[in-house]
Amino acid sequence: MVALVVSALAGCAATIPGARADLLTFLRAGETTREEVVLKLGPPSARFEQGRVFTYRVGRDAKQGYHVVTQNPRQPWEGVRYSMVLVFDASGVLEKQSLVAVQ
Amino acid sequence: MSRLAKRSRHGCLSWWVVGCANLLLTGCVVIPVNYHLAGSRHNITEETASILQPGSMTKVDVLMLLGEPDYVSDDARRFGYVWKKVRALVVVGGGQFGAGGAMPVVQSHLLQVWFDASDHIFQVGTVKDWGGQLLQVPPAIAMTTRGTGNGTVISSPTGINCGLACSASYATGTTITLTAIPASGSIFVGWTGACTGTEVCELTLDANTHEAIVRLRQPVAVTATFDLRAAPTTPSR
Repeated sequence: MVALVVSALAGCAATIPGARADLLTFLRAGETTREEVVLKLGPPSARFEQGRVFTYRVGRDAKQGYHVVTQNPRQPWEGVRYSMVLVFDASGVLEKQSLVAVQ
Repeated sequence: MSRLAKRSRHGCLSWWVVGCANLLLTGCVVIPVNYHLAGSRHNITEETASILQPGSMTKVDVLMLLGEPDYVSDDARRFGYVWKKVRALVVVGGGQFGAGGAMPVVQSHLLQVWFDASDHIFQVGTVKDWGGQLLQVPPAIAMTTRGTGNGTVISSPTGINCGLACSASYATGTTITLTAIPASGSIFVGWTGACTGTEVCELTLDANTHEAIVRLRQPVAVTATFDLRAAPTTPSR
């Protein structure tokens, strides 16, 4: 009976859409292009410097991994663990990145 | 919602000193605390402003260090970072709060970073008890002096007396005259300067009169250069 309840509860655990432990491992300075980033992560939460800089709001679940957080205007940092900053060079190739822990 | 809860939600700290004085009679206890509010960004604190270096750090440096800002001005010359701290817990035993509980007193803060036309930090400011509105860019002059010599720059109206006070804010539209006064043994070489932002900024630099005229609508960065006066050559015999 107990095992049945536990397994039922486990089945109720919310699945975070798009969450993956290796979500960000494709990002490599000097290699990854802006187009690849948009294809894999979707549109950024903000763009700066005429699109040279993208930011993404990233959450992290201990079991399901990293995921891009959809912006909530009322609670903009709710569920956000990192602000990921991607800087591209003039040809649109990733120049440098920063995973800023905001929570 | 109670009056207490409404005010707490708006992040105003000062009320509880007075407000709770009445509640103390009915069993209110204020516990001072200091932690970031859940859901607020935690990577910005009171000390963050001190690590942002005007003149040397760029907009990209700020983004890499602090992450995405909460606010960006239309001309992208100003970033705003908001963080909220719980400064006290007001513990009540019931009465107007029904079953009682702890009500956090939240203080909102705003860190603003202004950038000049070359995307370097121009000015950094922190606002406590932020009420939710971004502040207007304070029209300000940031003076620097350089060169091999020494000198002072003063302003009319007063405010700048550089090297003691090298920046000052004035009302929008104020016309300020900067005058360069070389120290003994130094000469004034000239001015360099730039207006930041996209709005009209008038800056007239005149090395001959040692004066710079600024009609201030946006932050203005001005540099005065002083060099050592060349030593008079002694005729050889």
